[in-house]
Amino acid sequence: MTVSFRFIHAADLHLDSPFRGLAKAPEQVRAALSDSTFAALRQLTQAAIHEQVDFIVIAGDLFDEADRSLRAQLMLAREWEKLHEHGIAVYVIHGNHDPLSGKRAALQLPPNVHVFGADQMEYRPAYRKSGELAAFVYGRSYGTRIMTENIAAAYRIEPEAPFHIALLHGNVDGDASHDPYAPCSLSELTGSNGFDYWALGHIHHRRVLHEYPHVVYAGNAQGRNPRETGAKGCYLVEVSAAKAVEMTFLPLDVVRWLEISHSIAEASSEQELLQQLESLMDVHLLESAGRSIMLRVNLVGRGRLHQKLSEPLIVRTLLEQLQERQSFAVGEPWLHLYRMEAATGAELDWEQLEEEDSFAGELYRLSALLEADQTLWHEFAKDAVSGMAGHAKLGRLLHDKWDELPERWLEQARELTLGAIYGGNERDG
Amino acid sequence: MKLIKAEINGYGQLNARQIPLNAPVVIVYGPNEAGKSTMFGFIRSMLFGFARRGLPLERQEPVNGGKHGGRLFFSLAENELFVLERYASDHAGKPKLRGLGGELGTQEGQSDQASQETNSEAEARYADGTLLLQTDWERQFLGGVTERLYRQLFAITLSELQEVGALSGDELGRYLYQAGWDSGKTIAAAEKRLLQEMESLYKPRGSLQTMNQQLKSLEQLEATLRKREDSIGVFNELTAQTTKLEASIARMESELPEKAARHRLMSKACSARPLWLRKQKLFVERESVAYAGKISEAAERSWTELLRQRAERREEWEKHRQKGMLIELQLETISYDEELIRLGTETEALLQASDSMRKLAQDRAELASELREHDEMIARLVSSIAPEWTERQLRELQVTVADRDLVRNERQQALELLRSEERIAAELETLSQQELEASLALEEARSAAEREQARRGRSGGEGFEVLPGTREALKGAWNALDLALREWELERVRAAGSDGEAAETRQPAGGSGAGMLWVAAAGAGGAALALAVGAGEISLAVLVLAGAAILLAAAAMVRSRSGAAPGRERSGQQLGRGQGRGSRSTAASAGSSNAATLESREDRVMKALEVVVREPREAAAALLAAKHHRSPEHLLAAEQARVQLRAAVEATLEALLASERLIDHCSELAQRLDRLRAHAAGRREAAAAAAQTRQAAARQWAGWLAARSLPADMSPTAVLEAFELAEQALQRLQQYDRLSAKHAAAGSTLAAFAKQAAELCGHFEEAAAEFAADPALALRLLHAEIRRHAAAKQDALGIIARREELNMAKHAADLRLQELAAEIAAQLAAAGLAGEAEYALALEHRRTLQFIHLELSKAELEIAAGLSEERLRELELLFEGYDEEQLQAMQSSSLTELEELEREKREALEKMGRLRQSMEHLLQEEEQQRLLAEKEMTLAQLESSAERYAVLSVSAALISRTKRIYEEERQPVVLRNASRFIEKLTEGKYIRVLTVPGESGIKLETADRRLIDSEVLSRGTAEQVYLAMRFALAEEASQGAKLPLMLDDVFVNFDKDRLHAVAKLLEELSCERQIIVMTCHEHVRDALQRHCAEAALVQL
Repeated sequence: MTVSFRFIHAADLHLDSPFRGLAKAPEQVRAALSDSTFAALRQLTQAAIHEQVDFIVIAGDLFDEADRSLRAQLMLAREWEKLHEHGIAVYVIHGNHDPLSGKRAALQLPPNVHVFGADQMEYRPAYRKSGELAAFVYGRSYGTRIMTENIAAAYRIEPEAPFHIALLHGNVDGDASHDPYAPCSLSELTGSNGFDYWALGHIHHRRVLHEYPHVVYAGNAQGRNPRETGAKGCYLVEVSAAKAVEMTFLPLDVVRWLEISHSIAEASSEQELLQQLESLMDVHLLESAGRSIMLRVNLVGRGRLHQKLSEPLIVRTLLEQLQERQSFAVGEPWLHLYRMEAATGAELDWEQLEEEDSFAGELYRLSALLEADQTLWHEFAKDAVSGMAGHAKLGRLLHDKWDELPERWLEQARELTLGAIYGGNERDG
Repeated sequence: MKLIKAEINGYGQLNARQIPLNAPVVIVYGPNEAGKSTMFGFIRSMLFGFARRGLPLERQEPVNGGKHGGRLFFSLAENELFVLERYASDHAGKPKLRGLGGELGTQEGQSDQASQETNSEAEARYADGTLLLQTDWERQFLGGVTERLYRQLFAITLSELQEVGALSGDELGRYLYQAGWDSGKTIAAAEKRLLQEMESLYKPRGSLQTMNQQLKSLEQLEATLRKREDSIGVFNELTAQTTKLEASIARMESELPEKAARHRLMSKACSARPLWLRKQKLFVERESVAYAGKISEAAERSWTELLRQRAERREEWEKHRQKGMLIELQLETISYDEELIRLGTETEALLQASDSMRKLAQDRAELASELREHDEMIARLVSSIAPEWTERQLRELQVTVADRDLVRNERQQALELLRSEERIAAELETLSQQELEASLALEEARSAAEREQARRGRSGGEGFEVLPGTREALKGAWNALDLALREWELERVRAAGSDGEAAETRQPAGGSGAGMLWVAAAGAGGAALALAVGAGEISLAVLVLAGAAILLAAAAMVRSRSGAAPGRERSGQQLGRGQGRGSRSTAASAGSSNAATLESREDRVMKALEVVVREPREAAAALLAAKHHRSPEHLLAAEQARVQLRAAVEATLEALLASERLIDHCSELAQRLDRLRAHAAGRREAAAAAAQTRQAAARQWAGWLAARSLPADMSPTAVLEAFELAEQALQRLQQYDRLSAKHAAAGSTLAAFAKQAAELCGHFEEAAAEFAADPALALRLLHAEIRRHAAAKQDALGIIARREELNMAKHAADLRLQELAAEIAAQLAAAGLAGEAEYALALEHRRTLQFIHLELSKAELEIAAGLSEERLRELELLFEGYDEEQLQAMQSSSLTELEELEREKREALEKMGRLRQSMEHLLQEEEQQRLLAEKEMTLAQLESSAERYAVLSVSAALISRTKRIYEEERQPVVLRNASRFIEKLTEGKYIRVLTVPGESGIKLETADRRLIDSEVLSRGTAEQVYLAMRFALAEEASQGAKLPLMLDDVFVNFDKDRLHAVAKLLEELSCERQIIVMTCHEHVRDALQRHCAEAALVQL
C-alpha cells in the first residue's frame, strides 16, 4: 500500500553561525547576517506550512556549535512547536557540528520531533497528515564530533514500509573540501539496499548525486560566508503513489552571497570603474527577488588601471567609496559589497618576458616553473610562508591555508613582484 | 685604474707628503703610527669623498697642518693620465679631475700641468680640470663601485675581512647583483618594499604589526569568550535551580497554612483565656441554681399562663356583672303594642296590593275603550258585507273551504263563458266585414271588366282596326299576313331586279358597305322579332329592340339609295325568313321571273289582311303602295303602314290579355264571397248555444247565494270578498267577548280590595281619618306605626337575650376560676414548693440559670469561633495545661515561626523572580553573539592579512629564489675563482669555496671532499678564505674599472707558507690589478718583495 506524500529535505542549518571571513561590516549587515540562519529556519517553517508537507527531514548540523548557542536551541524548539501545531513531523539526525555529546539546554521538544540516536541506525514510521503510513525514516546521529566510521553501511530497510528515506550526515565519495566524516561511496548507497531516498547532509553545496534511488545533498539553508555563494535552501520532495520522486528546490536564504568577476579592460579611469561597478551592483540587487546580497567583486583582466589597483590602498579606497553609496533602509533588501579584490594584470608582454635575459625574465620563468609543477610550488610556498606557519597560534589558526597553499598566491606574487620591478624600472627610466 | 701617486696636502698626521704608487704591487712599509692607515684612508677619501664631520676618526682632519685633502694621480690606460683633486674646503669636497696626458714627471713629484698634449678624449675633456659629482665620478671612473663596496671589496682591513664571515648568504648575493647587474637597486628596492610591508604586517615577536595586533585581540576575545559563562550550562543550572526553588516554595506553601493555623490557635488561646475563665465561673454559679432547672420550661409557661388566666377571669366576671346592670336599666325604658303588630302582615300585603289595584283600575278603563272600538269596527264590517246584515247573520255564517272553492269555480266558469261568447261575437264581426269587402271587390272587378270591354270597343276607331277578338286568332292572322307580305316583297324585288342591275354594278362597294351594316341590323332585328313571335309573348323590350333593328335597316336602306335596293331586298328576305341562304338563291333565281307571281302574292296579302283588319283595302293600299311607285317616299309610306299595322295588332293583343285577366279575377272573388257567408252562419249558431249555457249557470248561482242569505246579486268575487270581511268581523267579535269578561273581573277585584282596606284602617285613628281621602296613604301610615312597634319589641327581646348570655358567661367565669385555683395548687404540689412566692423565686432562679447557660454558650461560641472540633480540643488542652504566661510565650514563638516561614517564602519567591529575570536576561543576551561575531571578524581580518602576508612572502621568496638562481649562475665564477685562490693559499688543503642556498655563511670543501663551515675554521684559515672570496668578488664585481686592491696588514695571522702563498697569489693578481699592501711586518714585506718582482716599496 503506497500513498503519495510530500516532505522537505533540509540539512546543515548551522543555526547561530557567526559569519566567518568578513573583516568588517555595517551594523545592519552584521545584524542581518547573524540573524540569517534563524531567518532561514523561519523560512523553512513557513515553507513547510505553506507547501503543506507531511513531514520534514533534517540531515544534521542543525547548530553551528552544539555547545554554544542557547539561542539556537530555543529558537529551534520554538519553530518545531509551530510545526507541531500544523501537524508536521520532524525527523532529525545530528552531525559533526552538533553531535549528541554537545551540551543541551534543558528543553522539552514537542512530540512531533524525532531525533535519531547515535548508537545505531534507528527507524521511525512517517505518516501523512491524513494518517496513512507514508514512509519509514532511517537515521543515525553523530555521538561525537568525529565520525570516521562508514555508518551508511549498517543501514537496513524494514521491508514492510512503503518508502524508505535514509538520513545520513556524511561525505559521499570523499569530497575533499569537507571533512571526511562518515565516509561512503555513492555506489554503496545506490546499491541494492532498498532505500528510495538518501537525504544527505554535511556538504553545503546542493546537488543530486543519483536518481532512483535518489541520493541528494540539500545543501545548507543559508549561505554563511563568502565561500557559500548562490541560492541556498531545501528540497521539496513529492513522492507519488507510484513512488515517482519529484524534487523542487525551495530557496530559504534571506541573505545571498555572490562573487562576481569584473574586467577592468573597459575602464579607463577609476571613476569609470566605479560607475560600472555601481550599475553592476544595482543589477544584482534588482535580480535578488527581495533578498539581501553580500557581494564580492574580483577585478580581473588587464587594463590601464592595473598599476593603480595593485596598490592595496587604492582598492580599499574604491571599496570604501562603493560602500558609502550603499543604503540600508529598514525592511528593504540591501546589497553590501563586502570585498573587492584586484587580480588584474599589468600590461606586460609575457612572451617577451619569458625570453628576456633579466631578473624579471628569470623571475617569470621561475614562476612558470612553479605554476607547472604542483609539488615544486608546494615546497616553495611552504618554505616562503614557513615564518608565519611556524608561529604557534597562526599556524594552528590558519592551518587550512598552510595546508592548501593556494596557487592564487603565486599569481598575485608574480604580479606584485614583476609590477614592482617594472614599476621601479619605469620610475627609474 | 692604476694609482700613480698620492699627494697629501693635509690628512691626519700626514701633511705635504708625496707617495709614489706607480707599481703593480706597492708595499707600504712602516712602523706603527707611521701613517699607513692614514694613507689608506686618504686614498679612500680621495676616491669617495671625506667622511662626515661626525666621524672625526674617518674624516682625518689634518693635525700637522696643511689643507685637508690632496691630489691623486692615476691612469686608466697606458697613456691616460689623470689627477684627482679633492679638498674638504673646496667645492664641498667634490672631486676635481684633470687630464694629464700620457707622460708625467712623477719622479719629480711635479703637480703642475706641465704635460704634453694627449689625444685621449677624456684627457681632453678633463684637461682644464672639471668638478664632478661623486656619482658621476663613481660611474665613469670607478665602475659603479660605491664606497661601501669599495670598503668591503677593495679596501680591506682585518676588520673588514672579518665581516665576510658575518655575511649572510642574502647579503653576499646582493653584493653579487650590485656588483654584476645594474638593476640590482630596483630589485633591492622592491625587496625592501616587500619586506617593509611584511614587517608592517607581521613580525614573529612584534607587537605593533597588524597581524600581531589582530592576533592579540583575537586572543583577548577568545579569552573573554572562555571566561564567559557557558550559557547552556547557565540555562540548565538556572532551570535546575528554578525547579528546586519551585519545589521548596511548594513545600513552604503547604507548610504555611499549618503554621498559620497553629499561630491562630495560640493567638486564640491568649485572647480567649479570659472568656474561658469566665466560663469556669459561670459553671460554679450554675451549680447554685441548678435546682431551678427542674422546673421545666412548660411548667413555667403553664404557671404564668395559669396566673394570667386567673386574673383574666376575674376581670371578666366583673365586666359581666356591670354589663348586666346596664341592660336591666335599658329594658325598663322600652314599651310596645302587640295588637298592632299582629295586623302588620295583613297591612303589608294590602299595601303591596294597592299599587296593583291602581294599575288594575287604569287597565279597566282602557279595556272599556277598547271594547267600544271593537264594537264599532264589527258594526262597520258587518254593514259592509250587507246592509241588512247584523251580528246574528255574522255569527251564523259558516264559511268552509269547500265553499270558497265552489265560489272560485263559479267565478272561473262565468269567466270562461263570457270569453267564449266574446270570441264568437268577434268572429262574426270579422266575417261580416270580410263578406262586405268581398262583395265590394266583386262589384269592382265586374265593373272593371265592363270598362275594359268598353274601352276595347272604343279603341278600334283610330289606325287600323284589328278584327279578331281573341289572341290566338289575332296571332295566327298576323303571322299569315306577315308571311304574305314578305313573299310579296320578295316577288316584287325579283321583278324589279333587272332595272336595278346597273345601279348595282355601279355602286357595289357602297352597297356592299351599307349592305353589311344593314344585314347585321336587320338580322338582329329579325331574329329578335322572330323570337318574340315564336315565344308567343309580347315583350315590350323585344318589340323595342326589333323596332330599333327595323329602323336601323331602314336608315341603311336610305343611305344605300336606290342602288342598294337589291341588297335591301335580300336582306328583307333574310329578315322574313330568319335564316336561309338557300332560299335567297331560290328567290334570287326566281326574282326576275314574273309579275304573276307577284299578283298572287298580293292576293294572299289581301286575304290575310281581311282576317286581320276591318278595312283591308286601305291597309292593303298603304302596305302595297310601293308596288307601283318605286320611289323612296312610297317605300317609306309602305313601311310606315306596315309598322302601324303591326302596332295595332300588338295593342289589340295586349288589350285582349288584360280583359281575360279581369274576368278571371271576378269569378275568383265571387267564389270567396260564397265561402265567407257559409262560415258566418256556422258561427251564429255557436253563439246561441253559449248564451244558453250561461243562463243555466246563473240560475244555479242564485240558488246558492240564497242558501247563504247573501244578496242574490252578489258575484262570486264579491262573495269571496264578503268571506274575507266576515272573517275579520268574527275575529273582532271574539276579541270583544274576551275583553268584556276581563273588564268584569277587574271590577270585582277592586271592590274587594277597598273593603279590606277600610276594615284595617279602623284600628288606627290617624289612618282611619285619612282613609277617606286616600286609602293608600292611610295604609302607609298604618304600616309605619306597626313597623315602629315591631322594632321596639325586637329591641326588648334582644336585650333580654343578652342579659341571659351575660348571666351564663358570669357563671362560666366562676367555674373557670375555681378550676384554675385547683390547677395552681396542683402545680405547686408538683414543684414541691410551699407557696406561690416560692414558686416565683424558683422561676427567677431558673431564669438566672438560663442566663448562665446563654453566657456559657456565648463564651463557648466565642472561644470556638472558626475552630474545628479538633482545634477546639487542642485549645481546651492548652487552657488546661498552660497558664497565661506560658500561652503568651507559645504564641510569640509560633508567631516567630510563622514569620520566619513567610520570610523564607518571600525570599524564595524573590529568588525565583531573580532566577526568572536572569533566565530572561540569558535568553535575551546577545553579548555572546557579538563576541563571536567580533572574533570571527578578527579572524577574517587576520586571514586576510595572512593572505597578504603570504603573497608578500611568496613574492619575497620569488625574488630571493631568482636571486639565488643568479647566484648559482654567477657565483660559480666568483666561487671558482675563490676556490682557485683558496686552493693556492692553502696549498691544496681546501679545494672549493661554496654557499648553500638557504644557509648563511660560506662553506669550504676540503681536498678530501668534506664540507666545512667557515665559522669553524681557524682564524688564519678563515681569513684566508675571506681573502680569497674578496679577491674573487673584487675580480667579478669591477671588471670594467679595475680598482686597486688595498690590503691593510691582513696577513698577520698567516703562517710562513701561507704568507708566501698569498704573496705569490698577489703577484699573480697584480697582473690585472694594482695591489697596495700595507704592513708593519718585515717578514711580510720581505715575502712580498721576494715573490713580487715588480713590487715597489714605499717606506713611511
